[in-house]
Amino acid sequence: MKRYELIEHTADLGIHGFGASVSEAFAAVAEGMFSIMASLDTIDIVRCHSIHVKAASLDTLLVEWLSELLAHWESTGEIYRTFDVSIEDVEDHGYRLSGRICGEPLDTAKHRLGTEVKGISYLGLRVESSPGASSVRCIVDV
Amino acid sequence: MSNGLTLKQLRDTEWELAAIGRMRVPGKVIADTATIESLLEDEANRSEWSALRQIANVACLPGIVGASLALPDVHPGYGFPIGGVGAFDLADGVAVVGGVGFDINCGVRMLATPLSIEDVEPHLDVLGESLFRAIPAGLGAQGELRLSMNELNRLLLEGAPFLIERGFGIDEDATYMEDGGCLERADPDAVSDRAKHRQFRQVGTLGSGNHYVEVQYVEEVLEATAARVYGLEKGQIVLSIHTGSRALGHQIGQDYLKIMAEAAARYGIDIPERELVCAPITSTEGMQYLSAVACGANCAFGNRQMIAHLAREILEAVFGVKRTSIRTVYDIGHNNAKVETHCVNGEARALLVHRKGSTRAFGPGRSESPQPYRAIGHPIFVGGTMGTASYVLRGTEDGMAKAFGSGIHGAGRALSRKKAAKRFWGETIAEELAEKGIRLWAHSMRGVAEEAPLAYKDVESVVHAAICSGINIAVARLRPMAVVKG
Repeated sequence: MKRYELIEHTADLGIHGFGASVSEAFAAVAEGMFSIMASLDTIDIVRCHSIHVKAASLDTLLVEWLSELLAHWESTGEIYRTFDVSIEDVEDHGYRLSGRICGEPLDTAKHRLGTEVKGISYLGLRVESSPGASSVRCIVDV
Repeated sequence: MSNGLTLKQLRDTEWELAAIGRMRVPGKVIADTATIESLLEDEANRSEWSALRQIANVACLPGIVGASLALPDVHPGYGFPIGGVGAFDLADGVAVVGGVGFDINCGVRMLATPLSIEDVEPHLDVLGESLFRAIPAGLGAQGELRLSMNELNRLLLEGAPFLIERGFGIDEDATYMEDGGCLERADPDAVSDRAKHRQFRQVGTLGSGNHYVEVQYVEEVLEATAARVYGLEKGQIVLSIHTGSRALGHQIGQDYLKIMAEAAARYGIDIPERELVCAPITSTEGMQYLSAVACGANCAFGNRQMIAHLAREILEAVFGVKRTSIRTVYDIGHNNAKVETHCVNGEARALLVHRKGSTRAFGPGRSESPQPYRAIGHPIFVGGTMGTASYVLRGTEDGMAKAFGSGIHGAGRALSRKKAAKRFWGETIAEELAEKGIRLWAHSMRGVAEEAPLAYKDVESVVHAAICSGINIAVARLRPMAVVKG
């Protein structure tokens, strides 16, 4: 089953990610974001990186996480397809995310390309969690 | 503001959104009836993407002057509507991230060539193919220019002239750019290292989405005097370059959404919506943001300068025309915030004017326009879609009074990208364009489907509304011959 879906907006795209936990939903939404840029099944796993971000709330953590990924891809020229996320609730200090992302350098001859994502909006951010089922939503500017 | 937004028609194409609740000023929408109906429909459906609500939200911000404005190409944006204009008092007003957006100083450069349709038509394939190969475009494309950190900082500080001095242009280019291709309040220290690192590979790249390079011809001159001043004549070939500040601008937007959210809380500013985070213009954060925006703007000017340089090289190679004979008609942005003097209730006031998806369109006599254009006012460019006309317009006295000297920037989307991608096939669109004699080169066929002509509003009706309202005057209509997309 697809872990994410893209949501309709006139000028932009929403991404809805699902999972058994908030961490899984965060990973799913990242997958959704990269699916806008390239067909994920054309990306092989060649390189992996560790990512660390923190924020005061879960919804701002979502923006931090995704904008970290955008910055990463644009400074390295690598495109990613797998995302492992672990979110930790740090008492009185908000949330800390540790992630591992894997992919390979973008190759225009190999990867089927889509549209560039410019930024992550704070509009329509949503993080919902109940035992066994979490979902997160955000809108990206394309 | 939960409900009760009502529009009153003032004139044919002018509507007032009454100030209710926390709105400090009314809203004003300049648009045709069909656009107004679609705005009301979105609002009635309680769509979280209601442009009308966004106009009302902007009207709630401290220090807003006159009215929260929207122009005929209005559609929902982030915080500000696209096609929005918000002017703020320098002393009491705020600098708003959503009033500029992620693609700072995204805009259009137009190059006028000495070539005619007859010169270009037989070589159109070679021209299009060469532009497609030479101009880095599409996802992940890298620019050829590799700058050091020091050089990148200078580009942010000096804008297009930094590149022109290094041979990537001709001396006259800067004269024919908005603000001479350089906003003076730029401070590279106001821009994060991350933004700069994201930009290194992207100087001189076109990007994807709605960005393009188009070979067009002047189909019709609509105002002879102005066309003569701008050096445009019927049948002439022009090139339009639509791109912006690339990753640098995107990251500045992202960084300051966070910084300004904290600042707004600290200054006790009541924000109607998250994307409208702001800080007083006179505050440290407000001034820093405007310095960063100027860096983004200079980066965009530089980007269009590099692409114009590549286009000139190609035209020289294919047609043997001199580079210096390919003039910059103008270079103007449509996502910016600038300090300008405007007459408000008979009094000259310095205001910070945000234009999100709208251009400056100063009428006759303003010192900001290049000297040769000053008597008539500078041109503005309205991008159509791949299959339709584009327009050269100019500002008017009426537009100075009604719209803080602003103009429209494009057709405006009517269909979401996903709906468009589902409904249209990139390959089919390419064939349909070919039937109309328009050649298309693109890196992403899905991108082409998303940018299908029918995914946009009719550019003719948008232009018509702008002219009808008196804020802009039509100078020339252009038709595309070759389109290069990311």
